[in-house]
Amino acid sequence: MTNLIIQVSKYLIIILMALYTFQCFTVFRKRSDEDRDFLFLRQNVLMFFLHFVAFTVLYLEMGEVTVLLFYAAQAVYLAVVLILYTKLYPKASRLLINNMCMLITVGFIMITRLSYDQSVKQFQIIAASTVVALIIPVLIRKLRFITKMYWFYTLVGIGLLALVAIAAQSTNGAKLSFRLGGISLQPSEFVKIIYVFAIAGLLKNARDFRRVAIATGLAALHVLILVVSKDLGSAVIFFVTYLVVLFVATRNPFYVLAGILAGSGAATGAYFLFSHIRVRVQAWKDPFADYQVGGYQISQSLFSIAAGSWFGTGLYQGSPEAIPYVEQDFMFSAIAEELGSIFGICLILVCMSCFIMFVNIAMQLTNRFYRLVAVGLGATYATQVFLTIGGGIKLIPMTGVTLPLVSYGGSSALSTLIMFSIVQGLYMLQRDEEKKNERKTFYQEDRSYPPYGPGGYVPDGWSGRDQSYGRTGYGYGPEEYGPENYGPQEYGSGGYYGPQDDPGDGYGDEYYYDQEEPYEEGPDRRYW
Amino acid sequence: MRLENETSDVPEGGGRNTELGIVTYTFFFLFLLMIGYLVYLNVWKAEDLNSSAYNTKQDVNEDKYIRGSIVSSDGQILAETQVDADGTERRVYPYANAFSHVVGYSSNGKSGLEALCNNDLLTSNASILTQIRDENNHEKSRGDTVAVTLDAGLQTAAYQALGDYNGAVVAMEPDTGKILVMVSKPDFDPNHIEELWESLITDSTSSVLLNRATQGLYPPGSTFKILTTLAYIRQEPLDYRNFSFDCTSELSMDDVTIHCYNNTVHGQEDLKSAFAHSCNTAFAQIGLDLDGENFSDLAEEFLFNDSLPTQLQHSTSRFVLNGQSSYGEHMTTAIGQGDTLVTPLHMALLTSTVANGGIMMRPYLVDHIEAYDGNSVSENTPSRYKRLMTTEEAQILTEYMQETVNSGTATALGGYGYTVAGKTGSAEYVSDGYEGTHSWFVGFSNVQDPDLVLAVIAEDGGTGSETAVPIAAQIFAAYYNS
Repeated sequence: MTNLIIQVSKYLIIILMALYTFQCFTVFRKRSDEDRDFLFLRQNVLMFFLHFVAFTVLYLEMGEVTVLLFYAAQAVYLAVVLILYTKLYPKASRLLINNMCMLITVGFIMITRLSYDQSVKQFQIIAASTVVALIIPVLIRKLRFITKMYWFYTLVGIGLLALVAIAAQSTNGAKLSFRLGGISLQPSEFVKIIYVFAIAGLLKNARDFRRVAIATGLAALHVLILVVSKDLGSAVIFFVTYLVVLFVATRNPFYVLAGILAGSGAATGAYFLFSHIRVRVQAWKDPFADYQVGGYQISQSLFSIAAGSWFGTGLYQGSPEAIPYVEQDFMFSAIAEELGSIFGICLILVCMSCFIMFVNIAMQLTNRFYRLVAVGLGATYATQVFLTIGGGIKLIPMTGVTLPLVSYGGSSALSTLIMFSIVQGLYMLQRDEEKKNERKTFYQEDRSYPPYGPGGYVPDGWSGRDQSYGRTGYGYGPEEYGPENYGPQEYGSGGYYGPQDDPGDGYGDEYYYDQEEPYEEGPDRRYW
Repeated sequence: MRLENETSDVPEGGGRNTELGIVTYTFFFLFLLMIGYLVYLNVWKAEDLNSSAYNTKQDVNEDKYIRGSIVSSDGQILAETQVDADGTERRVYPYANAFSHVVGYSSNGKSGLEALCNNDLLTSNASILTQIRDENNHEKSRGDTVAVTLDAGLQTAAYQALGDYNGAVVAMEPDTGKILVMVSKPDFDPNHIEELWESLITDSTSSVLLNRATQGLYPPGSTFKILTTLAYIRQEPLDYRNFSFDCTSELSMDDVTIHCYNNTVHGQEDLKSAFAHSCNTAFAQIGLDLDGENFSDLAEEFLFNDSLPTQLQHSTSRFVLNGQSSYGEHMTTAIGQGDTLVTPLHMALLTSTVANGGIMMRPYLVDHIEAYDGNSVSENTPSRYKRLMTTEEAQILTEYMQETVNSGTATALGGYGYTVAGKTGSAEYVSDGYEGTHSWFVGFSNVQDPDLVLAVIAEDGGTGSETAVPIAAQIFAAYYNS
C-alpha cells in the first residue's frame, strides 16, 4: 500500500505545485479584489495540501511519530506567518507572502527528507528569523533616516567583508563564516543587504561621472574582497547587483557595457590567476574529464536530474544524498530528482514570480533611494537563484550559493527573510504614499483647502507621527469620505487622530489603515 | 524625523519604468534559459547520463528490483536473474559465450546491453497492482524485460561459422537498421565473469573484453573500394563507364609500388570488372585521379572520423587524406590500406546503405521494453539517419557487387536459391613485425529486395575469398534455411 501512496502522491505533489505556480501568474489577470483574495486563499490551501501530502510520504518512509509532530509544528508555523503577516500588514503583497511561505515549505520538505536533524535546526532558525522579519516592515516605514546613511552602510559592509577575509575559518578553501556560540554565521549574507542600501544611497543622485566613479570604486572593493575570500558566488551576486542598480540609476547602457567588459576581463584574469576557478570551469566544461576530483559534484547533480526525469522518483525513492553538500548548494538537483523536473520548473517560476514582484514594487516607488533598494534586492535574489540552479544543472559553472529559503543554512534564510520583509516594507510605504497622493489630488481640486504645510507638499514626510493631521483640519471628516465610514460616529468626534490620541509612537498609521479597509475597495488597490 | 525633500524625481512623460522593464526582461530571459536547459537535459541528455559508466544511481535499485531479463527476437532468453529459495540472485546467460560481448555482463562493472539498458532492467513498470502484490508478499518486483533485435538462432550460426578465428560478424536488416547478429571473438563466458575477471583484465595481448564488432579498428582492405568507386563515379559522372585500365599486376608512382593480390595480372578491364576482381592497380590509378579533398569529404560524409548514429559504445573509424597527401597515400588509401581504419559495424552500415537504395538507417539493438507482467513500456521503431547516395549510385554499386559474386572474388556465394551482392577484402596488416592478412566480406542477400546485410572479418584469415566468404555463405544459409 505504501508503494501505491508514494506513487500517487508523487503526481499529486506535482499537480498541486503546478496549480500554485499557475496562479502566481494568473493573478495579474484578476481585476477585482475579491477574485484576487480568493486566489491567494486558494494558493494557501494548495500549499498546505502539498505540505500535508509530502509529509504523509515522509512519515510512511521514516515511520517515526516525531515526524508527525514536526509536521504539525511546521503547519502551525506557516499558518501563524500567514495570519500574522496579513493581519499586521494588511497592505503587504499577498503574492510575495504566499511565495515566501511556499519556498519555505518546499525547503522544509526537502531538508526533512535529506536530514531530519538539520531540518529541526533549520526550522528553529527560520521561526526565529521570521520574528525578526516581521518587525522589518515597521522599521522601513518609520525609520526614514535609513535613506541617508549610505556611507555608514558602505563602511560596515566593507569592514565585515574584510573581517571575513582576514579572520574567518575556511570551508573547502573559501572563507565564509564565523562561529559564534555554536552558531555559524555567514556575514556576506547580511552584507548583501547592507550593500544594496549602500549602492542605492551612493547612486540615488548619480548624475555626474564623479559620483558614479566613487560608487563603482566602493562596489568594486566589495567584490574584490569577496574574490580574495574565494567566495565566488557572492562576488558575482554583488557585481551583477551593482550593474543593475547602476543601470536603473543612470539609465546609461554604456556604463553597463563597460561594467560587463570589465567584469569579463576580471573573470578571465581570475581564471588564470586562481586554480580553484579553473577547476570549476573545467568541471563545467566536462564534468567527466576530472570525475574523481573536480567533476564529481556536478556529475552527481546531473545524474540526479536525469534519474528524476519529468515526474521524479518520489520522495525517498532517489539518492540525492550522493551529491556532496546537496542540502546547501544542490538543493535544486535533489528536488529535481525526487519531485521531478516539472516540479523544478514550477519552482523556478515561483522564484521568478518573487523577482517580478520585487521589480513590480520598484516600479511603483517614486522615491529614488527606495526604488534602487527594491530593484537591487530583486537583482540580488534573482542572481542568486540563477547561480545556484544554473550551476546545479550545468548551465554555468558552479559557484556554491544557496537557493534562498529552500536550501539549508541559517544565515541565508535569515537574510532572505529580511530581504523579503524590506521589500514588503517598501511596498506598504508606497501604498501609504498613494493614499496621500490621492488626497493631495483631492485637495488640489478643492481649492478651499490651504496647501499642505509650510513649503509645500513633502512626499517623504508622511509618517505616523505627523502631528499636523488633526490640528490643521486635514482629518477625515465626513466631507471627505462620507459619513458612513469615517464619520465621527465611528471614530469619535473627530478627535481620534488628534495629537492627544496619537502619542506619536509610530503605530497610529497602521491602526488607522487597518480600520480603513472598506475604503480599500476603491480604485487605489491597483496593486497587491 | 522628517527629511529634506529627497527628490522623488520621476522623469517627465511616460517611460519612467523603461529601465526596470529592461532589467525584468533580462532576468526573465535568464530564468527561461534555466528552464530551457532543464528541458534540454531531460529530453536530450537524460539517457546518456542514466547510462553513463560513472552513474551508480541505478545500483540503489538493485536492492529494490530483481534485474530484468534480456530476450532475443526469436523469444530466447539471453540473460535472466534466477532467484534461489533463500533469495540469492544469480545472473544467468543461457547462451554463454555466443553473446558474450553484445549482451555483456553485469557484475565487475557492466558492458554491452547490460550496461546500455541498465536503467530499464532496474526499473519496474509493472502495474501498480502487481507491485502491491509483490510488496505484500515481501518480494522484490522484477525489472522490465528488454527485447532485443538479435536473432539467437542466427547469432549461434554466425558464432559457429566464425569458428576458431578471432574477428567479428555483424548482420543487420538494411531497411530497418535492426541488428540481428553481433559476434566478437575471442569471447568469454559471462556466467563466470567473476572467476575469469583477473585473467581477462591481465591478458593484454588478445583483448578478450573488447567488442570487436563495434570497437575493433581494422584496415578495410578492398571492401573500401565500394567508397572509392562511389567517389570516382561522383568525380566522373559521365566518363566512369568509359574507364579502362590495363592491369600488369603492378603500378608504381614515386617510390611506392602497388601489386595486385598474388601478383595476378588482370589485363584489360573496365570499372566493373576491376571492382569485381578487386584489382589493386586499377584502383591505385583511380586513387591517383581522385581529388584528395573530395575523397576525404565523401569518407567523412559516410561517418569516417565521426561517431556512428547509435548509442552502442563504438570506436571512431579513421580516414586520412587531404590535398597535401603523397601519391603513395592516394594509392594505398584508394585500395583500403594506408591509414584507413574501420569497425565491422561501420562496414555493415556502409553496405546496408547500398542495399537500402542509398539511405542509411540508424542501427539499433533494443526492439522494445516491456514490464515483466507484459505491459508494453516503450518501443523502438526504425529511423532513417540520412540519404547518403542517390538511388542510381546505389544501383550501380549493387550491380558491381553482384558482379563480384557472379564472376569475381566471391563466386562461392553464387548458385544458391537467393542472390547475393558483395565485396571481399584482404586487408594486409603488420603487427609486431608479423605480416598478415585479415579476411573481409561485406554484402547482402536477395539483391532485388535485400533481406540481410553481413559484415564478416576473420583476423589473419588470408584473402576474403578463402575465409570470410565461406563464413558468410554459412550464415546466409542459416538465415534462409531456418
